Amino acid sequence: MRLYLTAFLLFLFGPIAVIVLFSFHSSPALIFPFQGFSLQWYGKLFANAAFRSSFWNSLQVGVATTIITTVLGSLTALALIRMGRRSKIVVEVLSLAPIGLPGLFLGVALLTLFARIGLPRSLVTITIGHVLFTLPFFVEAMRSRITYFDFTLEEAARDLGASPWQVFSRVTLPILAPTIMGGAMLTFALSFDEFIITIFVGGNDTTLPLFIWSLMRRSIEPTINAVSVITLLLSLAALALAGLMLLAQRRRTAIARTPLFED
Amino acid sequence: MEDNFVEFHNVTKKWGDFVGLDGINLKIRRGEILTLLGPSGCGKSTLMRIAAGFELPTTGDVIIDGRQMADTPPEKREVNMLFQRYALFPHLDVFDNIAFPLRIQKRPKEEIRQRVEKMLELVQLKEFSSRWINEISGGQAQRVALARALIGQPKVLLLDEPLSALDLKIRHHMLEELKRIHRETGTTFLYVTHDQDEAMILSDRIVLMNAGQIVQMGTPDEMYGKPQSLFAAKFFGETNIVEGKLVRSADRCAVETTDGLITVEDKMISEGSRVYASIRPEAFVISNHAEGNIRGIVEDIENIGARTVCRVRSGSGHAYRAQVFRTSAISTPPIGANVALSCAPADVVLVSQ
Repeated sequence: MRLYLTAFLLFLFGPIAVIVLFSFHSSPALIFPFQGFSLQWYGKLFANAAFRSSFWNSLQVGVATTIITTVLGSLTALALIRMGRRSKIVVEVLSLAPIGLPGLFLGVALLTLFARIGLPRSLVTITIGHVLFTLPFFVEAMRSRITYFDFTLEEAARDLGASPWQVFSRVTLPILAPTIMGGAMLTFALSFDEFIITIFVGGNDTTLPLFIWSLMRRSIEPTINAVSVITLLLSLAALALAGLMLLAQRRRTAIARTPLFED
Repeated sequence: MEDNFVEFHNVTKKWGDFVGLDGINLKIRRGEILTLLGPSGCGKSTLMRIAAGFELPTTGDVIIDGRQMADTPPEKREVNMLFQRYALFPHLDVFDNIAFPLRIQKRPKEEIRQRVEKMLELVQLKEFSSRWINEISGGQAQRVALARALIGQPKVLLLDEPLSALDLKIRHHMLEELKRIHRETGTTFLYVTHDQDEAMILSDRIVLMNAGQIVQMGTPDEMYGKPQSLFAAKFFGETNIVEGKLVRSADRCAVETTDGLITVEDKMISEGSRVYASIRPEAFVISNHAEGNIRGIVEDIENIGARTVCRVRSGSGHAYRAQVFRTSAISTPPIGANVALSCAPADVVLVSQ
């Protein structure tokens, strides 16, 4: 049992550890023995204008996609749980189906569409593609949690004097906030990584995955390790941020009340 | 003083062909505890949800303190509800849960603090104010819900089977608590339950419902002692039902059953009609001499705490349950003994189908 777990964890985290290690390697060789630490690959990377612009592009697309998907997806999920059983099944299947669709297909379809309506390929078209791609994942992530949402809480709030809008802003939204945040993080990660659809609808704008791919085509350079580590850090930062926000929310309510009991 | 505070006027609720409530007329007095009692699906919860505004009646209306409620949404009605599963907000702690209605009303901070503290005192949860609601027990959660429902000083408190999620011991304690809080606040309570014991302990008046209609209404004593139908007789506690024909002679009125004549008080029921006699187990006197209305053999003896119930199988095969009080004067007959059951005519209640 313990052996299996060790092997499992090694399998999961081994490659990550190797990449992180070699991104600090002082020699370009990607083999052991390790020859000392250096930040030269990071330096090289940040000196590269193509990296900087693709990184910036990915951030923009990621943030825009996350905002749009989170708003649309939350509304969809909230509508979904209030639907009648039959229409609910139809909408559920339809909204989930694109997950099974090959990215290739979506890419070609979007490309054709954009050409037809004369929308030039840019970060905007990439964002549209990403929203389309991430929305089903977001809705699915929310739906599985929202199924357990207790609607008597909304009734109780109404009963205690809250208008429908106040019920949403003071009860439904705060209770679902962690779920929505989780979905938003997932969306950002998916968008930040997305490759196939981006190739089709990207035009001249490069995102980070496209940049990495172009690096790979020439030769396997150690800068790739550095790029990977930066991507990893970004994901970890997003996670940490979400956690901190939750913590802060709890503390805020606690602090807001303490003075009330000091008499 | 006859003061009708909440009135249901001819309230009907239909879902398609299904009739959930069938022309309910009911008046609740100011300050009383009125219980809607009935089996599940009898419409009692629907009636309460109509009062709260969560359901709209198909026809008819609710009047609360003189105002028609038809066009008033739940948040504008001066009634609050205690939910079966508490419905406390999981993202708020005890204090904030109770303060919720006042925060919605945008009351000043100091007033909120004072009123929440008063409520915490009322429900005896002062030291729990900063607990999260997943950190308190079911009984405490229900008391928080009670405080939250009462802080806005509603005209009526609706209680939807509030004790059904609690275990037996806490349930009895909570009943006492509810009575105390009712005394201290003077709020009108509309209580819904399927548990006749809860209804008997708590209520000023009980409304027994079945299949969307009111079956009988009265004080707990009246409901127990004078059931008007077979359904009411069976619903309130244990009883023996014997079917028979009403017969009358010069000096007495009786029900002729397969186990002989059972004398009853003459209630001007026409002779020869089919009636049901309801006799409570505690109304029987069990003896070993031959005289007595019903003769049989003791088949089983149940000891239920302070009382002992004998199951007596009569000659016709009918099983009667008769209670023996455990006093030193009366000894419980052994299983297999030949006994006679008798009861005072006043303790036999005749009901229709």
